[in-house]
Amino acid sequence: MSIMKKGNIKLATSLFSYAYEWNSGQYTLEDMIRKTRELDLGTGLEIIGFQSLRNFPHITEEQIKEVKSLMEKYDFEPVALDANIDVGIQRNKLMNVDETVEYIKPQITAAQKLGFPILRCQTTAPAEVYKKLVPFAEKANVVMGIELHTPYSVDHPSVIKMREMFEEVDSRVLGFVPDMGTCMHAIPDALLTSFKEAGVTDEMIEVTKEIWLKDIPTPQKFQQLGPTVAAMGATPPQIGRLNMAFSMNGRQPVEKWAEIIPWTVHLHGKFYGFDEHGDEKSIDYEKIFRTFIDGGYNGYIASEYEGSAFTDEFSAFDQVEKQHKLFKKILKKINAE
Amino acid sequence: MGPLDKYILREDALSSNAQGLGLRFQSHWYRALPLSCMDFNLKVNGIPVDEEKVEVEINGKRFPKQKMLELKDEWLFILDQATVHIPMQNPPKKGDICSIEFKLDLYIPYILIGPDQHPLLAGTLVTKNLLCQ
Repeated sequence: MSIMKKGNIKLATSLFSYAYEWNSGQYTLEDMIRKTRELDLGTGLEIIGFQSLRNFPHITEEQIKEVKSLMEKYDFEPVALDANIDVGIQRNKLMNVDETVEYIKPQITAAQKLGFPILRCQTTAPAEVYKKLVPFAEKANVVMGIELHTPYSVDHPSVIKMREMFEEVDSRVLGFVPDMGTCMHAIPDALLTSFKEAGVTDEMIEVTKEIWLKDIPTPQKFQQLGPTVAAMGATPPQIGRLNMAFSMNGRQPVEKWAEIIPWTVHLHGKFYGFDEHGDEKSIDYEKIFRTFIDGGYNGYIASEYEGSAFTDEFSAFDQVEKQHKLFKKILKKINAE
Repeated sequence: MGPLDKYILREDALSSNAQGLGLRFQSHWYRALPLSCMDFNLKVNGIPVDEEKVEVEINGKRFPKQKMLELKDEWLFILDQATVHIPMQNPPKKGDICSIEFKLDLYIPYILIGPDQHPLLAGTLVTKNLLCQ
């Protein structure tokens, strides 16, 4: 008996993926978008405001025109604009709730002006901030999609508070953007290889893997790892590298996403690299696609290549292309059932 | 820190004039940050520069290094460079090679860590011999 498919997933690319290429200064925004089209990397595009647009969020009419015309020229649907919730911008003093609200408003306006229906927001602001922003976002017709990036899994205390607020306010401008780095089942090989290049030993990697697999909060993992690998001779920069395994790779079971699918407005297809068969061994994308489709999710997944944080061995364009091949293969299989 | 470090100091980053040296740097994050989220330490030919005299030029404006913490509205776009101005009595001349040790610290304002929720420190030390332009 065939199972009725309730949802549909469309493919997009986030320009975040090209950080290494972008920072080189050798590409224009148009180059990035044109290449994404030439490689057929989806029908949707995601842009990080503070990465792609000078003076963001206080953008000019010319910038708005440029972005809109590039989206049209290369036939991309604007999917999400990424805000940053910089509550620590003063370093020695965190923003209070009202200051954070005011910091986010111009970013909502930027999304509205650029024609992006979703503004990716972050868990650095508490539920109270987003609750206060609901009338402003409703007026701008921009959905605040709060990214669930590890360690913010569906049952993290801050996320529970967010979910309670969503239920209470019940507004179309509140939603979640689950990031697939939150639900991994292994530390990616590409990341482990980069550790070795930094002089980390196999023994230290084994300890890191063991601690990663423990069911304890991330801060406790940092506390356990540091002294253990230091005793094995790891230097502070090497410990910093190993900590990346805990800060980037979450262990939430994929099935847990089902709890928040009704609130899901967009997905981040985080990835680290591929094996020789084109598989991402640390993230079970087939299971992820099935979970969201069966749960009735209708929207995009945007490729987010994390390579610029740890390796320059591969071209980000090639890597995103590989992920799209994998995604297309998965969708074909699911649609054929 | 990571692959983006290679862009911090380009080969033409160092320049010399009658007042001293100028060192142009790019940030190693993936997005713009304001000067309030940055700090740096600098040695030229092994000698630490006098922090009180150093200025930072960004977006056509110059500020004392010691004011950086307050400059939350002075953004360094990720493709732009800021210039550190180092006053010197007898600066190296154009064509001289200088050994530069530049430690750039970024305090990531949206990633808070620890019980006191302080911004994540992403610091990188770049050591390079640069030709004075």
